[in-house]
Amino acid sequence: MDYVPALARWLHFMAGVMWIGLLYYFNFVQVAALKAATADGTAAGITKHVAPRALLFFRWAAVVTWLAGAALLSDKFVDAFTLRHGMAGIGVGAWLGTIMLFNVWVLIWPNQQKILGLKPATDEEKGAARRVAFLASRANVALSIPMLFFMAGGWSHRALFGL
Amino acid sequence: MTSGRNHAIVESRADARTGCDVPWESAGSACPRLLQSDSTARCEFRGGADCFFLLYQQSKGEIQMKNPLDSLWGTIISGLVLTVILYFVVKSVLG
Repeated sequence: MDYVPALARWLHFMAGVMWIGLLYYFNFVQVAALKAATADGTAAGITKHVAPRALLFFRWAAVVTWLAGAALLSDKFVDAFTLRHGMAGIGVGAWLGTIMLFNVWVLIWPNQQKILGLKPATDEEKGAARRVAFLASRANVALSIPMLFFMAGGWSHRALFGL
Repeated sequence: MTSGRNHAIVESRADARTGCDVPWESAGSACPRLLQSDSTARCEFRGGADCFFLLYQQSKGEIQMKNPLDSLWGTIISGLVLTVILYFVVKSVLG
C-alpha cells in the first residue's frame, strides 16, 4: 500500500491548488470585477455563468483536498489534530484547512445560493447573506496564509523551528 | 495630528464636538481630554490610562472600528500576523 501516500499527496496538491486558486480568484478578481460589471450593467454574465461554475469546483475541490489530506496523514491523523509527537506544524495546517472547509460548506455556499438566486430569499436576506459570504471568504484568504506556511513546512522549515 | 511614544494629540478645526480628525459618529464620547478654544478643538491622549479608556469605549461599542477583512491588504496583513502568532505557538509546542 506504499502507493496510497504518493497518490494522496498528488491528489491533495491538485485539489488544493484548485480550491485555493478559486478562493484567490473570488477575492482578488471577482469581487472587484463584479463591482465594475454592476456599474455598467454586465454583472449577469458573471453571476449567471461564471460564479456558479466556479463555486461548484471550489466547494468540491475543498472536500477532495481535505479527504486526500486525511488519507495522507493516515495513522498520524490523530497526532496531527492533537499537535502531538512532532506533528504540531502540519497539525496547525490541518486545523486551519478544516476551519476553511467548514467556512466553505456552512457559511459561503448556503449564502451564495441565496445571493445567486438558487434558493429563494428576500432582498434583506440577500443583503445579510452577501455580508456573511464575503466575510467568510475573506477569512479563508487570511487563514490560507498560515495554512500554506504550515502545510508546506517540510524539511525546509525545520531550521525555522530550531530543529 | 502629532504622536509620541506615550502621548498623542489629535487636532481638528472641523468638528468641535470631537476635537479629533475622526467624525463624531466614529469617535463617540471616546475623547479622554477635550481642549477647546475659539478656533481649535484638540483631543489629548496621555499614556496608558487613556489607552485603557479607549479600549473600554471600544468594548462598549462607542467607537466603530473598521473590519480588516473589508480590504485585501487588511486581509493579507491579518493572515501574516496570524502566521507569526501560530509560528511561536508551534515553536513552543515543538520546543
